[in-house]
Amino acid sequence: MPDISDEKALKLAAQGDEEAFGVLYERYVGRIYSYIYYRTGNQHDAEDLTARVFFRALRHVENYTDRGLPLSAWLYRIAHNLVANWHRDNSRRKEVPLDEIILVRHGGDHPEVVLIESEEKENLLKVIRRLPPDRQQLILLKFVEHLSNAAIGQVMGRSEGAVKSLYHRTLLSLRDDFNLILMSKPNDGEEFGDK
Amino acid sequence: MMARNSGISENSDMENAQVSDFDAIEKLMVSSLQPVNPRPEFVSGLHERLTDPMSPTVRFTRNYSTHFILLVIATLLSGVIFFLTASRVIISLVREFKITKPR
Repeated sequence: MPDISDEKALKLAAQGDEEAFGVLYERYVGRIYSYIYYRTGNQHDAEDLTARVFFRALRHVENYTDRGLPLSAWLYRIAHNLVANWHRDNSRRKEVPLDEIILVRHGGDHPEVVLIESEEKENLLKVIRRLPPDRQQLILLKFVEHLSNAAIGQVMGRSEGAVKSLYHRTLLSLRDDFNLILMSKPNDGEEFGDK
Repeated sequence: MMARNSGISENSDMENAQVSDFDAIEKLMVSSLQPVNPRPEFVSGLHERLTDPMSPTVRFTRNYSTHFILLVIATLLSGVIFFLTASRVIISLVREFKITKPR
């Protein structure tokens, strides 16, 4: 069963085969969780939303029709919508803590180097979290999920050219914001929220 | 011509600086944005909830459309029965009224 293709597993899952849906779940849970984790910034909400994504997928798998869209794109869309709702519901909560797991991944480097790198990463994540949701989605799909521009276009419902253009604008915006943070002393009390 | 050339060179410098900035940011993103694995307990727990046929959530989601269809059929049947009963009652009342009506 683990070697079964996505299409075959989807067909079986649509007919009520729990094991087939389980195979799809095992295949995509890590990617969906990772994506949601970066979008929400904490483990608790990431787990909650990941569960909701798969329950929603399970509920609608019977109605899923193959329109040339890969299953992963469908799941990312569900995740994106749920995260957008989550941000809307939590719009009053401005601070989203980023767990240490993202920031600290160092081996035996010099403590000073570790500190600088960690600070740089923290600043980068803060800047990314300031971006509009579609740009955050693009960056995460590109760098965390390693999707191609064409695949990102399928998830976002845009053409490959539009994704490239958006990526360029996002890089410009990231560079400006990042330089701004580097030039000014980081303010520890500053809080960021999703736009 | 010189001004134009210097402008071109200036633009080229700016483009090079931009490319180098972008490279630096991309490198930072590659090193910073690593996939985060979910807790194994969470993965196995959710797997169980999703695939356990006895789980209320799964039963509900799996049978949602079946339940919905049954509900519609039941509503239609009760509607028909109600209509038939009501019309029979009305007919009986009318007949009774005709019989008992003084001539």
